[in-house]
Amino acid sequence: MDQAELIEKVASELGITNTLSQRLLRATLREIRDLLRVGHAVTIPHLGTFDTATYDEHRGYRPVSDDFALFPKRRVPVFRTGTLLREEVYDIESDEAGTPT
Amino acid sequence: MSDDNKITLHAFTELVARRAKVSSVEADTYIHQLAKTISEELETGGEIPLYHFGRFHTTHVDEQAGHDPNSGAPLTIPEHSRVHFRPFSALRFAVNAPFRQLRIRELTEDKTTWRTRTGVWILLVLLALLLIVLGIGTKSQMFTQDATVVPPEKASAKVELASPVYEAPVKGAPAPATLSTAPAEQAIRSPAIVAAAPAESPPPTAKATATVVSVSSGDTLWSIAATTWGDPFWWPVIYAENRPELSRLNPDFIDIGVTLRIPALAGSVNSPKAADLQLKANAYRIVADDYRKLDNPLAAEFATVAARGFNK
Repeated sequence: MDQAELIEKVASELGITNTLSQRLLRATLREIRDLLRVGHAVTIPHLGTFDTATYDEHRGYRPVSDDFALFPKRRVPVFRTGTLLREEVYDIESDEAGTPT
Repeated sequence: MSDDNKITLHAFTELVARRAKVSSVEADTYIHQLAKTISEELETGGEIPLYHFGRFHTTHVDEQAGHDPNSGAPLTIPEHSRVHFRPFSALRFAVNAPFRQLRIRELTEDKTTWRTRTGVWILLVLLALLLIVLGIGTKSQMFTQDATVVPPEKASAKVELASPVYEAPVKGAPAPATLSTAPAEQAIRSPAIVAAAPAESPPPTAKATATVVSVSSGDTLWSIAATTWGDPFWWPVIYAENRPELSRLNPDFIDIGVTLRIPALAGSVNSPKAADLQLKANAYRIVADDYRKLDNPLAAEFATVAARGFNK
């Protein structure tokens, strides 16, 4: 499901126009982004928590130079799945190749 | 994760509502429905990419052995699926903005850093340009030496100077400016004499009281004519007079030590008689003839002058 389908589905379930649905989705995502940028964590019910993690300067392997390098301090966005979603997804069937069906 | 930076759902809903310019109730409903839809999609194993934000997807985890963290008893974790969120680079850069200026530092010295320095490249380009310019300069200098500074007749004449021979470049009367003589090629003797024989019949009349000049180094026919008569343009007369004795048959070259007979003129150079003018015209014709045999371009000019005649 890509973004357009998501917008349409949410719009049809809420009975709002696709335009409004798109506007709300964009507003939500940008709000999350802006909050993460200033270091806040956002919890969406039933889905999970968007948070940031700060990695200190550390030594690590760098495949480009095939050598170890000193990676600088950085901050990355992380998502922790909510318990409800995790348990719902836990039991889904998957085929032999490991691809979820 | 610490609680001090957490924002409440209520505050978040307010922010979204303000940004989307809708009521907070609508925003709250929307966010709940969005989460529900996403989780439903993930339950079916789909993935949800969101532009400039990130991608939700699920992965399959095989059955694996584990421990009960409390009792330490071994247990088997069954195969299951789990949710992942992969942030896209737009979100990554936005979040990493405070540390954007930091770079990865190599622990061992990198010997290829000069490639990223523009100054080095500019220096190399300048050096290459300098070399090219220098090369062009030397090449053009070589070509000018070949073409103009040393004309071919000088070059060939220098070779002949090894023997005690003096070459006397004589300026042509009609066009004294340019003088380019082909290398002294041994002219075929017989047609020259045949051609010159009728022309030389008049001179014997003037040969009676001839003076003699010995050619020394630096002398030219031009200079001899100038010193003896005062008019260098009469030099072909001297050449025509002495042509049978000159081995080269080249008006531009006379050998050192040769004695030249100077024909006596009926009148003088400044007030010549008709016979003298005839003599001069014949001499020019002979010179034109010899030049033509030597492939000298001056032949044409001498021939035209001879054909026009002298009427002073």
